[in-house]
Amino acid sequence: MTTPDYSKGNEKIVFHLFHAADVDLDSTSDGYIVIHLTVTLEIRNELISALNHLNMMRKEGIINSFIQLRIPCTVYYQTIAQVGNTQAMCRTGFQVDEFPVISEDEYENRWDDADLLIGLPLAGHTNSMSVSIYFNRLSERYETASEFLSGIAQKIYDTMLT
Amino acid sequence: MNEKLIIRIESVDERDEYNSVIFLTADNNLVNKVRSVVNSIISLEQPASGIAPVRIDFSVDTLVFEGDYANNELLVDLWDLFGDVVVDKFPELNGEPITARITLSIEKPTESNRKFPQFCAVWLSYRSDNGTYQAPIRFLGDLVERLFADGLVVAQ
Repeated sequence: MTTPDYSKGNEKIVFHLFHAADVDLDSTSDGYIVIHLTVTLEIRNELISALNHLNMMRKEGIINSFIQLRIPCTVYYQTIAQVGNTQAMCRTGFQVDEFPVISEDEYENRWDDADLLIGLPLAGHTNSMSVSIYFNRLSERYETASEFLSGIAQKIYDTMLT
Repeated sequence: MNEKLIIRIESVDERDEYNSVIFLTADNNLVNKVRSVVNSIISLEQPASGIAPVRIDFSVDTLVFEGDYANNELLVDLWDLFGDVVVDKFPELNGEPITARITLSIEKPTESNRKFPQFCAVWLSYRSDNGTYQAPIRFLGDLVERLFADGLVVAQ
């Protein structure tokens, strides 16, 4: 696996989120939440601010902190039948050049934001997953860790500590 | 500040009705942490970009009693209230408390979430072998509402 280029800007990432209660990937869900996220400069800067606050809070003895941030993105519900090819599913997100086209059926259940759950990365680790993407609507919770955003957070935090 | 709070906590999984209460002292140390967290929420607001903080979670250590308190008058009253009461002195209870780490969640009060009657700006959650428990902490919730209303805290 190649190391992603974190400095490119406006990266497009697609997430597939299963219901938080579904432990297995081949769950019995009817479908899942799809998120199209563009990692804008504003999101990047807010991630830096959030990590600064978490680090400051840690120094004040406020431990195990997580910040939940609402960010603009495209969210829609896709049934298993609509996706057809389950190999396309990816819980940790993958980068694309262009987002997939959303069909009219899928457009019926569409939202304009989701949340990031941001914790402090483990200092010096290369693979700590400290950022998740989270969606809580329809009385259900959907969540998955983001490898890409965790990687950015790790770089920022390691710089902060040096 | 050194307020003593008794909080009845309720199982998230309805499968058990295990009784638990938490003794939490809202001293200056805890209140300063709450202020600091509220300050962070306010600082992270970015209205122009559509990015907004929703909630910050953190952990504190406190005393948890698990067991049957059917004969304790104060706790029988508390069972009807669900939430927290402020007492002058923590009551004697049968059994030994355990020191446990609980999570406090501070949520930004908004017009839309205030519409829910059960809304409280501060909730606690506690996880044990018997399940996960949650409860609002009205005392701290009112404090957080006041801090947001004051716009806080720029200089503590």
